[in-house]
Amino acid sequence: MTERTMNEPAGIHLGSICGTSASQINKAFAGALLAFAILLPMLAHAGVVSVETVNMAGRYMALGIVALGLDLIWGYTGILSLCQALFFALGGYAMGIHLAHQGTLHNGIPESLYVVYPYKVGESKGMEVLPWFWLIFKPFNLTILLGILIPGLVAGLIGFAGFISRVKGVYFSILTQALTVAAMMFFSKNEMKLCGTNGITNFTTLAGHELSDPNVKIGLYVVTLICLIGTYLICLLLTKSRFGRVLLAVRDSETALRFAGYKPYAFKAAIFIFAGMLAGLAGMLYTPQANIITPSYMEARWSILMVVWVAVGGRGTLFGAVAGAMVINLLYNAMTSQWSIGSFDWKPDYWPLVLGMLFILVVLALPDGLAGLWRKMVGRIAEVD
Amino acid sequence: MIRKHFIKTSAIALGCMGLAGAAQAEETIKIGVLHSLSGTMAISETSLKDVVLMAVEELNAAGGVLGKQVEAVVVDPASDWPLFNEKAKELITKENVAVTFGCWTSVSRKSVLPVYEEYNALLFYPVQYEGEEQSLNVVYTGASPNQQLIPAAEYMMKEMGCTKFYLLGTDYVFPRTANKVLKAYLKSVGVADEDIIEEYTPFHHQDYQTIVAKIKKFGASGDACVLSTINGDSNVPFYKEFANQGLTSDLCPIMAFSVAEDELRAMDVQPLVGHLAAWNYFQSIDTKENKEFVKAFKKYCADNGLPGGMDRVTDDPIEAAYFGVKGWAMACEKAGSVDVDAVREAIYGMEFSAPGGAKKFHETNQHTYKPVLVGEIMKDGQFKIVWETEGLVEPDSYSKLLHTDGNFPAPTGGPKK
Amino acid sequence: MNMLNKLLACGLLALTTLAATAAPTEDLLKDLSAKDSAKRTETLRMLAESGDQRVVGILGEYRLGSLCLWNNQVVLALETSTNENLDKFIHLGDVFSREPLLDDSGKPLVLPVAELTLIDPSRKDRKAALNAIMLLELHAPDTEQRLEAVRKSGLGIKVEGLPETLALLEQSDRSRAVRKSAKESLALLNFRFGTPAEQLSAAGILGDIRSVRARSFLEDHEDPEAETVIKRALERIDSRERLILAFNIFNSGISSGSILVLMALGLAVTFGMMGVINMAHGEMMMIGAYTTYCMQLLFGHTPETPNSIYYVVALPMSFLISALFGGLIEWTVVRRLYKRPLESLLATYGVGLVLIQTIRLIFGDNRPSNSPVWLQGGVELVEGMGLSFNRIFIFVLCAACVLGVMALMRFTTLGLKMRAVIQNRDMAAAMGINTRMTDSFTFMLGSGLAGVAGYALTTIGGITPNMGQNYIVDSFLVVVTGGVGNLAGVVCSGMGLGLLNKILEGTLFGAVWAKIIVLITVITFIQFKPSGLFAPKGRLADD
Repeated sequence: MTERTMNEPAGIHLGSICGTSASQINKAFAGALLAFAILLPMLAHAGVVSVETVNMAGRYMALGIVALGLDLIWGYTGILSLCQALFFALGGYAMGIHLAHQGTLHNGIPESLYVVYPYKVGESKGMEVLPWFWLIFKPFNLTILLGILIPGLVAGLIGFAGFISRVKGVYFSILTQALTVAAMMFFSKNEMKLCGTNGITNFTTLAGHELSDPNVKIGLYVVTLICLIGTYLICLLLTKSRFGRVLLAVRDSETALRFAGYKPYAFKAAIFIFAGMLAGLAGMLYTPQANIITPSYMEARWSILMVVWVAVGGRGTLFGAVAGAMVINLLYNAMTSQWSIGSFDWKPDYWPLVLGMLFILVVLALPDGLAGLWRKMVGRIAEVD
Repeated sequence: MIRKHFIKTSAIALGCMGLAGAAQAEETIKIGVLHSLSGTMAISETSLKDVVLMAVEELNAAGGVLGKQVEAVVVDPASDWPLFNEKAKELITKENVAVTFGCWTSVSRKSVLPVYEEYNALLFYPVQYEGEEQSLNVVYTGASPNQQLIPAAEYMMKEMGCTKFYLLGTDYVFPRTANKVLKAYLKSVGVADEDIIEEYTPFHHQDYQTIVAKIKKFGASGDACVLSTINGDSNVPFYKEFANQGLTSDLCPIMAFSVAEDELRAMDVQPLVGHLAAWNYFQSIDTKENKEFVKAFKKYCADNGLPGGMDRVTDDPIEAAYFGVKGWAMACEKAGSVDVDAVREAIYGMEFSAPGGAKKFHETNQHTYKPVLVGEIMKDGQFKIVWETEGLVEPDSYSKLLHTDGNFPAPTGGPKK
Repeated sequence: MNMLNKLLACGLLALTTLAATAAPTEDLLKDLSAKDSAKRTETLRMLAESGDQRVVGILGEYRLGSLCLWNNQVVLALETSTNENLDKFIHLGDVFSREPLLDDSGKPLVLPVAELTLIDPSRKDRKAALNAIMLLELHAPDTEQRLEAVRKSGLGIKVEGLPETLALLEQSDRSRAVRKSAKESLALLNFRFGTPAEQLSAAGILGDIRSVRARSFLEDHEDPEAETVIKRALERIDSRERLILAFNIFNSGISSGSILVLMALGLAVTFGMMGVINMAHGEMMMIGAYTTYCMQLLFGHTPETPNSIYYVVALPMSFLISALFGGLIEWTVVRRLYKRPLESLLATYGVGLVLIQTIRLIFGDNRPSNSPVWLQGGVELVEGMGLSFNRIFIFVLCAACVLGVMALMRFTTLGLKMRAVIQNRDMAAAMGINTRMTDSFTFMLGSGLAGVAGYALTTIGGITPNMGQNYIVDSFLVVVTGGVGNLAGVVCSGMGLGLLNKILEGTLFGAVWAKIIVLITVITFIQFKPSGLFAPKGRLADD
């Protein structure tokens, strides 16, 4: 009965483009957004916007990359994964350990590890007490490689094991959620030498650049923007390819696909691995901009929030996924602050009420999310024209 | 009336250009309040927000700081560590606050620390923590381990005659480090390895049956005690189970490091009566200053319609948050400005009076000299003070027990070179 | 009036029986406020020897610091109150009768603290008082009290006359438990303080009765002659301890399993049968707990003035209120999402956010729940093997709920309709079943059951707005492991996971590792049996 989800069309199907004028509006809008994103660092350089605004945009763009991956597996392939947060954290931890090596040291080991080190450090000084999984993240290039490969590998294990034994739908969601919770507990333990609940901190430099330098912050933003555009384009190609059509087929009728001689599990696992790698990449981009990585990213609420981003943005549209991540995070940020417009005072502790209502409304009234709303609006404008 | 309206409209007009903040900043001093008002930590942190706002109200009633009114900017970091970091940036760069009062958990402090060091801003941190940190951008008004753990362990040994110790905590950094310090201390005074048991439970653990059975066995000889660093909502099931399995404070006393009046307010206190807690302040401290403070806080909560109203209580972190604000204001007056470097210099060695009695900021390490008190839980959810140190205890930033070689790291942060 | 008569009678009785000692007891009490610590110790010793059972309660109050000296007589501080200036006042009472003392005008006597001398015992005095209480209670008429005292006596110091008293109790006490404990305590005393010969025979006895409490003393004992006896004794104690451990693990496994089942039962209905992923299920539980709290307030139940009836009323109320909330959610949100169950996850997550913060803004963060009197404490089967009443209650409640839901599904028309709608909605509608109403009822039933789980949890933990979040992942795991749509599966998997967790926690691993291993086990299990323990068969098993 739960399989009903798989069969009903979700999101906007590709190719359903609404006439020339609508597509022109879309293009113009995308162009304007892109121009703004490129202009943002210059504005910051000129002092019009704060460098922290750029930093915030950079972080949210990194989260947008996670949303892209999740959209591929959920929106296109119909697999609701609740462990993207785990892959994100894996990438984040890879980068975190690398940054900790460059950060402040005590007794020869990174400060944040020193504080929670489970054994007495005094006797054997320095690097020899560092476990192997700290040492491999010392070289920068290897870190980048591993930060993408490890999430991919873990995703492969979960994907192949799960999809071959045909774990489906809600079962897969709950299984991945349980895995993320188990991983969080594992990372939180001090004796795992992953810095416990305090996470990895005390970063100073990345590849020789001071992290607190405004130019480095802008640089990180630019790198994130490039990664976002790059991954967006790759995803676009992927969805337009034959592979992408198979994914849609998996979502709409896996059984039929199997009868047609395909092996759905291979396609599912492949896209799951790809999404895992994207999340890992996002984690690596996020960590130096946030200055900390903690196990709390693997809490249940993060996994669910990531799905909410895609749902609000509009599943099945790449643009919607990214937009959802950005919009929800901006709203979340704005609503947890205190502000007033005229005589209206916003109280920060009301945010769950409004955000919660918003989630409900979007799901009920806008099943295609913001992207669907946008499409309708543009369609109307185009008609008027 | 007309003027107020004018200000309002002009504020709206200027708001878009971001000039409203600048115009106001000339008249008032802004301070940030960074405590979770939603999510899992709201349970503890909302009270700190309340008392900080009360202290601000008192400051303003007494003429403000340096002749200017103080304006509190409240944000809700929602028990979400990355959001703590974002909110700290917002307070510093967008709101231009002179100082921030905030954080409860160590991870939230660790999360905002780079921001405060990068911008050389100032954070007052009001909660007891695991130590092993000294940033020039943080003033620690809570206890460091040697101001809570060691005196309490000493008390259990000397006054209660305990020889066996069950170190029980929630599995995160504070209990882990606290127990590391405790173990080092206990061993240094000759407690054998097999007489110390360390045990951890996950966050929000609710089922203490097995562990209490273990404690029962461990304490069968009648000279054991529990040193508990159990956090938050796990305390209720632990104490309930303890009582239900027939253990009492006579047979095996529990010394808690994370249970204060505010937590007791929310508990069925009956099973806890007679157990102990170590803090630097109790609501039951019998001085005129403290009574006035307690009264003022209750009244503030009732007047502002906060949940709990007159039933609200004060406790150690609440006092620390309160005297943090007052201490900061005093340091500003002393320095003649709200500039972070000037205030920091003014703070070193500054003596001041707090609700729980006179206290003093440390001469060099940004922590606070505090007395240590041991209290016995009474049936009304208050503590009966049964023991206290003579005078104030000097705070350690890095524990001498863990750095036996005397090699202490240098403080981090501070003025930009 | 009646009360007063009884009191008078009691007083007279006490006077006649204790005429010889009554006066000295009162005088002795006064000496408790002596400045000289040696004198206080001596006084406590003499009070212990007086055998006056009334002293037990008084010494208890003394230990808590509730005695004070007023007009050169010892009185009891019944309670303290504060005025608006937070100055403390003490309500005085008689030490023996605990009745309030009255002033000349017949009003209760309330005096400011300053007018009294508080008798504040030192730590040493308190220990001595405890010892005195223990010695007095050896003669207490109440068996429970006597048993407790006998047990404690073995671990205390060897006071003059104590071995003789214990020997007498061992011989002639009417309770078997007391006789046994007296034997153990006597052996313990002899082992700890006796001559080598006495120690040898005591070690033998301790081994014979498998005294768990003797373990640490036996282990620490170094005497080459007694080695074989001690070794044998320790072996026997080991076997007893293994038994106790096994019992305790089984006991806690069953009780944590029944909590899991209780939590998952509601979910098995909404998720398992209807296919709705209700992320607000935990919040339904929280509402049940808050309803229980409101009932407690309504009935004015506090630890001082227990009114345990509230807990009986709270059971149907928590079910109803949660069911009503569930109905509201179904009507406004879930109803529109039956065709998109995965999206119900998102909408109900939003519902959860709203509910949590609304409750927080209304009630504040953490509320105390005071269990009813009859759920506090427990019963000890054998020493070391205890069952707490609240755990037994939860087990019974869980069993009742499971049976109730099964009966509802099987034997009622509503249950028949529910099953029909679950199996084939369209066909059921064609047969004239109002599927909308049935959906509503099913969802309300699931939510109500969650409310009952929340109600039960108030006897274990505290009540916080976030409490539901701690259980939601576990509940889903139980349902998935058991097999969706199968109540028997939920019971098996809930109990199984509870036991597995406790076996791991109690033997090889700590609580954190146990939890991680259980999660991994479940994940692996689902790999091999993707549809759970009891997989649906036939038409339901298809895509």
